[in-house]
Amino acid sequence: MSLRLEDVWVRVLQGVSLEVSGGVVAILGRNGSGKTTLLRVITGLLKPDRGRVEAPGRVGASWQNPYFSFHRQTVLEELEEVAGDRGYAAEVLESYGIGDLAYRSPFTLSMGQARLLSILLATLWGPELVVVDEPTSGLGPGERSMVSRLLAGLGTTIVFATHDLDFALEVADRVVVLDRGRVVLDLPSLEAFYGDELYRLGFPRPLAVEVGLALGRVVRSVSC
Amino acid sequence: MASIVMEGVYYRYRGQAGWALEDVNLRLPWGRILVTGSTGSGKTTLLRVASGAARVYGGEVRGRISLGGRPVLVPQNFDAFILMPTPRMELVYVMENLGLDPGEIDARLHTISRALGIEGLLDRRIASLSAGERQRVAIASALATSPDILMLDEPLAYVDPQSISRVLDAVTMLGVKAVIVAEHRLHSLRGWPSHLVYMEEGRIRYTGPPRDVEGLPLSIAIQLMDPGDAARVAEARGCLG
Repeated sequence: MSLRLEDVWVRVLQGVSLEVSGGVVAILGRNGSGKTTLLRVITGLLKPDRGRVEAPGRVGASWQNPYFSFHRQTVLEELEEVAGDRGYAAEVLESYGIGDLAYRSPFTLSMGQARLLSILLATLWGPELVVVDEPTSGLGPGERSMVSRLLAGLGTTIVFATHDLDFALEVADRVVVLDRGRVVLDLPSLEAFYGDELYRLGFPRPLAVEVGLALGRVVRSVSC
Repeated sequence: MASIVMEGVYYRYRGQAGWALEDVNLRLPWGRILVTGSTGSGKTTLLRVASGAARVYGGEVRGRISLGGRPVLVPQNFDAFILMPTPRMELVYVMENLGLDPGEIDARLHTISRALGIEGLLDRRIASLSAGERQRVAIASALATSPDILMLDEPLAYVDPQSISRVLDAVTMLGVKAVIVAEHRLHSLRGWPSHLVYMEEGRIRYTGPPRDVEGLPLSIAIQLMDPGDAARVAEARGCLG
């Protein structure tokens, strides 16, 4: 798997270069900094005005509005279509503790349930790369940890955009910060969160980092 | 005088057997109020019922609700809140409906958009804005109605944590007397609330000052503690990952 963007200009993006060969990459940035635009370029939905994009052939995507991913009568049918096998689809639902949703219409799911289903749909067909826009927005704490477990367990290359710093610290190996359409920081996750540069850009310290600093060691998540 | 008083309030959605709010007795002061609780605890329903928005959903309300001023609720699905194609048209439309004169509209448009940091977006198409930008436009649109009580349902869903304090400060400066925020991401709001409400299963479990965190579940309390205290507690309880 190799993803390569070279000097990409389109909409708000101003000369973005990025190479990803694996792992879990978090794209951070303020509202309007170009996070979603970047993901759209990676998935091929948006062609750059200038620059080059080399992306793998199979890219799965879960967008900000998860309900846009759905078009079947039931949750099980959605999954079956993507996984190719009804039994397997049912197993997957069970393994995430949402087997009872199998015969519900996907359009009646809560935001958290819809988000989880949308990410499952983006990943179950074996893509080489999965992009997820705002994986935790609209999620409660329980659903949030379900999504982090899902992303951490995929083993596929993932690029996700978020402003949930605690979530990025918990699941990402690498952090890329966009500011007004430019990459201003690109560091391994722990270096970013336990260094200074991220906070010089105005990001607030996540709870886990404050706790880690108080204890003098690396803490990636706090869940009581 | 309180901003909102609820006495023996019950609410159930149409077609639902159980109460979504049960025996809610609440006296909210003016100021900065944070309503928290896990998903499904009733935060959204509380704001809907208190603001009068629950009427849209039908259902059954019991008990007594009195408001000390005019409320407006910015819902989680804030896109439904924005009616016009650009932020400028949206804000002007709202203020024209209030009968403000053009000079006043112009001045208020300027003040609100600058306070919320959307002055550069005023003539963009709403559809071309990011979710966080649209959420700020929805908040601006709510402010344009000059509410006394502004209710924000999960503002941190899209507004980035760097901007949230700016947005909340701006709201207070624009003359809103009570800001009621429903959220479960509390860490970036630490230090903001003057009053805290904690809900569980449709009931109020705590209402009072945010400092007095005893009696709150640890998952909530730890986000409101000073880093040193949070570290000690997290280590003692084995919460670290």
